[in-house]
Amino acid sequence: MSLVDQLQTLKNKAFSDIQQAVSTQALEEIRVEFLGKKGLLTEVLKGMATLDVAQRPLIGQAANEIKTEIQALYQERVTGLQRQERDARLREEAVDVSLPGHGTDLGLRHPLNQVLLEVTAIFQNLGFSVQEGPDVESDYYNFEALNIPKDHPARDMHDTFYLKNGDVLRTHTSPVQIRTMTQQTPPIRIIVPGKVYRCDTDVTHSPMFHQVEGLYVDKDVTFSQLKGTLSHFLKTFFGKDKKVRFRPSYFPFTEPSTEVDVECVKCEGHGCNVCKRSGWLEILGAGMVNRKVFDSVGYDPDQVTGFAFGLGIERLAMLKFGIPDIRFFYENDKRFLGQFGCVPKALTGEIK
Amino acid sequence: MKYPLSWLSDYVDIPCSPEELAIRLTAAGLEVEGVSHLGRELTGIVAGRIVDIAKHPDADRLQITQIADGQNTHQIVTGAQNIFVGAIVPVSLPGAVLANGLKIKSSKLRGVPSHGMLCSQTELGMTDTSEGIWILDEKTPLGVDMVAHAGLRDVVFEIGILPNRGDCLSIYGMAREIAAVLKRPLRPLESALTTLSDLVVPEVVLSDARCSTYVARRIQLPRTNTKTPLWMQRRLVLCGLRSLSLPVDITNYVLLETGQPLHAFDMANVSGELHVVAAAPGTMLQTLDEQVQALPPGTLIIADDHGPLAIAGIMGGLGSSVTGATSDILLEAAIFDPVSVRRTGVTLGLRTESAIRFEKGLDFEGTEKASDRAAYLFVTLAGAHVGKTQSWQHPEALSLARKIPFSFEKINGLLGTTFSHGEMQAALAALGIAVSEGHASVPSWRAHDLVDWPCLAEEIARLLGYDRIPEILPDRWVPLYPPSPLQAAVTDAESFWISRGYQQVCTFSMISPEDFKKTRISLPSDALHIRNPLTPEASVLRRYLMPSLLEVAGHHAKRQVSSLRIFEVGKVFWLSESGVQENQVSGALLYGPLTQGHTPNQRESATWDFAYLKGNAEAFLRDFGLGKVAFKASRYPQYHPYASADIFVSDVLIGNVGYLHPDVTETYGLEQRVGYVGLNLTAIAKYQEQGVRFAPFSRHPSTRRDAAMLVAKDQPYDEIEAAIAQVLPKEVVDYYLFDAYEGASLGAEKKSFAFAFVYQNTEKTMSDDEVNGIHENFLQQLQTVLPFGLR
Repeated sequence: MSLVDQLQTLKNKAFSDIQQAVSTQALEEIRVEFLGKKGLLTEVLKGMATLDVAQRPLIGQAANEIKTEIQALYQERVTGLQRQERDARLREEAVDVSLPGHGTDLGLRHPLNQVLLEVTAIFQNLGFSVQEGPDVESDYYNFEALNIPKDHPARDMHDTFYLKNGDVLRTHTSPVQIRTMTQQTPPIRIIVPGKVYRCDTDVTHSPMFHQVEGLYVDKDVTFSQLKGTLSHFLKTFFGKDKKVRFRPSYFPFTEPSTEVDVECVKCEGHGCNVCKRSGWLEILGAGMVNRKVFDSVGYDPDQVTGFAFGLGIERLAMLKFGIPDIRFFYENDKRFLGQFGCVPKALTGEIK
Repeated sequence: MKYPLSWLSDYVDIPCSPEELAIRLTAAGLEVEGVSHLGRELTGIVAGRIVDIAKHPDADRLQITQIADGQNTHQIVTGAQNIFVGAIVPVSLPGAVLANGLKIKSSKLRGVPSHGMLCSQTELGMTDTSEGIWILDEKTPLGVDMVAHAGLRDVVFEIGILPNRGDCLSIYGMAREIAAVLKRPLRPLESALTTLSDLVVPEVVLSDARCSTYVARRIQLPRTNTKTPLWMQRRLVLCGLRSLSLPVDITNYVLLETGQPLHAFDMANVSGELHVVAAAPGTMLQTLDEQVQALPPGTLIIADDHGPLAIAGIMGGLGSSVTGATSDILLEAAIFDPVSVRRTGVTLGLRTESAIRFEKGLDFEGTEKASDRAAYLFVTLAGAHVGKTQSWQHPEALSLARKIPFSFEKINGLLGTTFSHGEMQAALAALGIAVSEGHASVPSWRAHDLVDWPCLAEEIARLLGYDRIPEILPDRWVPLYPPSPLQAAVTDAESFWISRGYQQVCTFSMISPEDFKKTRISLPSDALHIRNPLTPEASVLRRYLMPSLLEVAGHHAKRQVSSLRIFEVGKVFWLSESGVQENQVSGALLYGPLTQGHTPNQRESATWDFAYLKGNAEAFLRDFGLGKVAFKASRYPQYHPYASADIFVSDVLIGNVGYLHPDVTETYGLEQRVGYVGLNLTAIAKYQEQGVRFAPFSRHPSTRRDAAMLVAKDQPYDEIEAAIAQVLPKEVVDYYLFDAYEGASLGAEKKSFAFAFVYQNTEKTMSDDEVNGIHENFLQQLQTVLPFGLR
C-alpha cells in the first residue's frame, strides 16, 4: 500500500473511531493513538524516508491536512461529549423543587416595634429628632412640671403606679418634654418613643404600653401648624383619603387642647363595633404647650410658643393589623408574632 | 354625666335633633358618649283603678281584673300577684305599645277574654327589672296619659365632662353651653320666693379658710312624708340617683340642676352653733351610708356643740340626716376647698356626687342661687315655710381673679387664624365673657378654668369651630440630631438578633418576686417594688430580662412548640445610692433545633451547642466593634455550672452566655436544653470602638501549614492560644482551630487540637522552603512554652 493509501486508511479509521467514542476519556485515548508522539500518524510518516525527495513535500502536506482534519473532528466531538457528560451529571443532581425549604425560620420585629419605627420615621421625615427618657420618673417630671399639681383632678386621668421609693412609673412620655426643654434651648423639635405605665387592664388597656410624644417649640409656632403636622401623620399612616377631625379637649399641659380622630378604618365612618358606632377613632391628644409648662422650664412664654402631642402605639397597631385584644402583644405567642412580617411602608419610601 | 333632654329643654330651646345636638356638642369639646331614646315606642298607656279581682276558673296563677279608666271599664287577665282592689296601675289597652315594641291586642287567656295588660316599670322602659305591677300614687288621675304624666319618653345624653369643666356637671351648666353653641337664649332658673318667714338659723363659725362661703337657711314643712312628684323622681332616676324622700330628693335635684351641692340637716338634731373646723385626732362619724368613719386629723367637718355632723363637701352624718319624717330643716349651701375635699374623698374612698363637684371648683356666686332654687321647690312641692338665707365668708379665703389679659392679635397668632374681632367677641359673649381694652372678664362659674389668654383662644376656637383653623406644616427648618450611642445600640442589637433568626418579643417591665426564686437568685435589696401593683405577678421592676424570656419560652413549651428562638431588648431597673438606675439590656433565648430539616444533613446542621451560643455573642460584640473580649467560666447560679461563661471587656462584666441551669428551666416547664445570651447594652455602648482605621493587607499569595497538637485532656484552650501568641512568627497573618478531637485512638488522657497557620509576606511571595523553615522553628519554640506532642 502506498503511503497515500496508508494515510487515507488511517484517516478513515480515526474518523470512525472518533465518531464511535462514547466518553471524553475514550476520545483522549484515540487522540493519543493517532496523533500522539508515538501515534499511528507518526508511524506512517516514518515511511517517508523511503520516498523520492520530490514526493516528500506532497505527502507531508497531505499528512498535515489529515492531521488538521482529525484534530478538528476530535475537537468537535470532545465539546459535544463534554456537554453530554455535564448534562448527565446535572441530571443526577435533580431535586424535587416542591419539597419543603430548609431554614425558613425568620426573626421578625415585634408588631409594636414595627409600628413604633414607622411612626418615628414619619415624624423624622418632618424634622423631629428622637429623644428618650427614663421609665421611672419623679412626681415632679411626670406631673408637677406639666401643670398637674398634687390633688389636681386631672390626676384621675392617670392610674399611676407608685414605687416604694416615692417615684412613679411614668404615665406618659410627656416628662421627656420637660427634660429636653431644661437641657436645650429652642428651637426644639423632638419625638419621644417609649414605654409608659398605668394600673389598668382589659381588652384595650395594658398596665404597660407604648407612646410616642412630639414637641415643637420655637418662635411663632401655631395651632394651625399642629393641625398640619398631625394631619400629615395620620394621612401618611392611615391613607391620604381618610378624614381627620380635631375636637376640643383638655390636658393640663396644653392650652388650647385637642383630641384628634381619624375616620374609622373598618367602617369608613358608617359606624361599627371598632369605632363604637361613632364612625371615628380617637388617635391622638395634643395642644399648644401651656404657658405654665414654659414657666417651669424657665422659658419666657411671651417669646416662644409650641405644640405637643401624644399617641398610643398599641392602638395604632391594633387598628393597622385588626388585632382585637391588646393582650396579644404581651403574650408573645409565636402564632401571633409570626404574622407580622412586612417592612413598614414608611421605611421603604413607598408613597401611599 | 347624664342629661335628660326634657330637663335641658326647661332652660334652652333645642330646635335640632338629639343626634345633631350630639355632633355639635362634641365639636365644641363636650364629648357625647351616648344618646339613649327612652320610651320612644311607648303609646296608649293610661292610669286605671282596679275595681274588681276574680279568680280565673281554669288557671291558678291568673286573675281576672276589672279596670276603670274614668270612662270605661276593661276586663284584663293578669298573672300579677301584687295587685289589690283600689290600686291605681298603668294599663296598656288594645292598640298600646310597650317599651320593647310589643303591640297590645285583645285576646283570650285560657278561655277568658282580656283587653289589655297591667304594666310593670320594666314594661314601661323605666327599669331593667321590677317586682310586679307598678302601683301608682292614689292621687293619680284616672285615664291620664302615663307617658306624659310620668315622663316616660325622653332622650338622655351621656356626656363626658373634662376635669376643667366642673361648671358643666349640671343641667343648667350644660343648658348654658348648649345655648352658646346653638346661639339660643338661656332661660333663668325659677326660684322666686314671695314670702319669707322669720326662721332663725344657728350661728355659723368659719374657723378654717378651707370653707370660704357658708350659706344657711331654715325650712319648715307643714306636713311630713310628702311624696316626691313622679316627674322629679323620674329625672333623678334618669341621672342615676334614687328617690329617697322629698327633702333629700330636692337637695339632690338642685345639685344635679345647678351643680351646687346642698346639705340638709334635721334641725331637731342640731344644737347650738355650727363650726366649720378641722377634725381633731380621733374624730369618728357615722355617715349616711351607715359606715362609721375614723376621720383623719385635719379633715374639714361641720360640727355642732355635741360633735361632728358632716364631712364637709362629702357626706353628712346619719344622726342629723333628714328623712321623710323631718319637719324642720337647716339647708347648707357652702363652698369648700377643692383640694381638701378631693384629698378627704380619696382617703376615705367616698367619691360622692357632691365631692366630685367640689373638687373641680364651684361657681363661687352659686350658693345663694342654689339655696333659693331649693327653697322654691320646697314651697311649691310641699307648701314649706322658708326663712331668709344667712351667709358667712371666711376673711382669709382666697378669691379668684376674674380679669385676664386679652388680645385679638395674640389669639389669632397662637391659633394661626384670621378670625375677625367681631366673631371672636360674639363667641366669648355667648359664654358670658366680656372683652374690653386689653383684658377679658370671666364669669364666676368659669373662674377656675379660664386663667390665661390661651384659655380664651380655646373658647373662641371651639365655638367658631376647630375645623376653621387652617392646616399647614411648619416652614422653619430645625436640624435633626443623630441618635445617642445607646439609642443606636438598641436598634443595632435588634437588627442583629432578627438577622440571626430570633423573633423579637415584648414583655412587661414588671415581674414577680417569685421569678427571682425560680431563677435561683435571692431577691436583691436594690430591687424596685411597686406600691400599688395590679397583681403580685407584676409587682417588682425587673432586674434582668431572663425571667421574662423564660416565661415566653414556657408558654410555648406548654403548647407543644418544639423549638424557639426569641430575643428582647429592654430596660432593667435597680436602686442605687444616687437614685433609680436603668440599663438597656439584650437577652436572647433558644431551645430545640434551629430549623426543621427533612434530611439527615439538614437535621445535623440545625443542632446547636455552647460554641453556637458563644459564636452568637462574639458576632454580636464584633458587630459593636468590641475585639478584646474575655470569656470566663460563669459564676451565676441561673446558668449551667460547667457550660456557661461570663463576658468581660477590660475586666468589666458585659454579659453572660451558656446553657441555663436545668433547675431554672424546669420551673418554667422547659424539659429540653435552653441556651441564653445576655448582654448589657448600656455597658457595651460605652466601650464601643469609635472610628475605624484602615489596615493594609498583603496582595501576595498565602500558604497554609497545619499542626495537630496532642495535649492533656484538661488542657484549657485559652492557654494554648496564649502560648501561640507568645511565639507566633510575624509571617503568620491568621491562624485558627479547625479540628478539636477526643477519641479512643488518642488514649483516655489526651485530646488533639489541629490548627491551620496562614503564612504570608507583605513584600513578596514566600517559597515553600522558607515557610517550612519558619513553621518548624515556630513549632519548636511553641513546645518550649507549652509541652505538647505532634500528631
